[in-house]
Amino acid sequence: MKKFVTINNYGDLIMDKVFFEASYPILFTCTNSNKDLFLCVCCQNNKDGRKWLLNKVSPVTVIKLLKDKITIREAFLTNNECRISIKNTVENTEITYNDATDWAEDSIYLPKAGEYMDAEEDEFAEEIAYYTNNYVVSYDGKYDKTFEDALEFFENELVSYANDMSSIEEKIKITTSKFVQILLDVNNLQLDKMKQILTEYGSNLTEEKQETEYEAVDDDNSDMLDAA
Amino acid sequence: MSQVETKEPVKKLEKIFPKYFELFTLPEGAREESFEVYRACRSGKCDKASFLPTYEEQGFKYLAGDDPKNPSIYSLSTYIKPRDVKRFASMDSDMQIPYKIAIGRTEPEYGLAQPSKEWDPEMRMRKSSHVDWWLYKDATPHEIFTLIPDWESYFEEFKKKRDEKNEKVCDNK
Repeated sequence: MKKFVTINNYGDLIMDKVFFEASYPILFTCTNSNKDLFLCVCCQNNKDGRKWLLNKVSPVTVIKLLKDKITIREAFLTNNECRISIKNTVENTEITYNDATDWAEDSIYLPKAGEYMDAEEDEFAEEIAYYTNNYVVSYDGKYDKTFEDALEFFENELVSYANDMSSIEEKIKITTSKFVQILLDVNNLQLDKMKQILTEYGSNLTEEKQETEYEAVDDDNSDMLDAA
Repeated sequence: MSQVETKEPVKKLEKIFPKYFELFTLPEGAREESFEVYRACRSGKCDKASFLPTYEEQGFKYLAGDDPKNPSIYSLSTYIKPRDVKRFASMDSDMQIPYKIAIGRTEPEYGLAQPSKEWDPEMRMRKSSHVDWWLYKDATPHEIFTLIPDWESYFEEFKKKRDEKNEKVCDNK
């Protein structure tokens, strides 16, 4: 394991996995003793020096990147907690935090917009398995354990949602396993996204239910009118 | 897509490496072999400036992270796979849109070549198609490479063929 750089608040960053390289690593991850994960790109290598951009990311972001679910640029912009630029010349190494130019929307240093890894089938299978099985999953800072623990967490959350929706459960015929299926369908373990899906699902059903009730009321009224 | 015609006839050169080749040892497997490869042209043209070995691009200096004994620093970086040269273009700030990518062969008259994963144990683990081409002193590779006129379409076509091939493999399983 090769030390890459030392940065404020996060200490020594060690190179973890290299996804792409030329004569030097271009796209790679770094980690520290706290298992924080950083995505790094060498965006410049010429006579003016070498430059890298680094951002703290979640393993889920890395997995999405390797599965072509998000662009390379998007992977660098998912988080604004810790955006770092490193410029190295023969004379010195300069580290800046949240540099307005480097991280601007129109930055020329970020990977170009719209570009995916365009991975071949199973090209990154090993790396995806590595981040899925062995790494830390952070979810909105609420959760910070192993992936297996995270799955258990999500299952518990799902059961909780299932219970919350028990009043309409019978009508929508949705079970915890169905929730898990929805979760797998969205394929990114985003609880917020799932909440949104379920909320929309629930509100549609509520509207349907209300419409049914209105119809029933109308029927009652018509009966009354008939009687009158 | 694989048949490449060179722009200029290949010149007969004296097989002498630049003086800085004294700084490292060539891998044993470096050889006179003609691989079809892609090169990202940072200058926007298929010219000498776009075909400099990394050490020369860096102004004959080492930068942070460089191991002076690493043979790759002294080679011209090329890629066998279009997806890799595209990745390079998408992440290197000197590459402008539309990307200028040249295709050609590692002509044995101009130097020794070897896929990096053959000699670099770290790259062996990965699926990199990076090829090191150690050029002789007077080599002019830009003269025998051809700029791909419309890289976007070229890459789309390549991806389409790749996907079709994958589908056929899936069908046969």
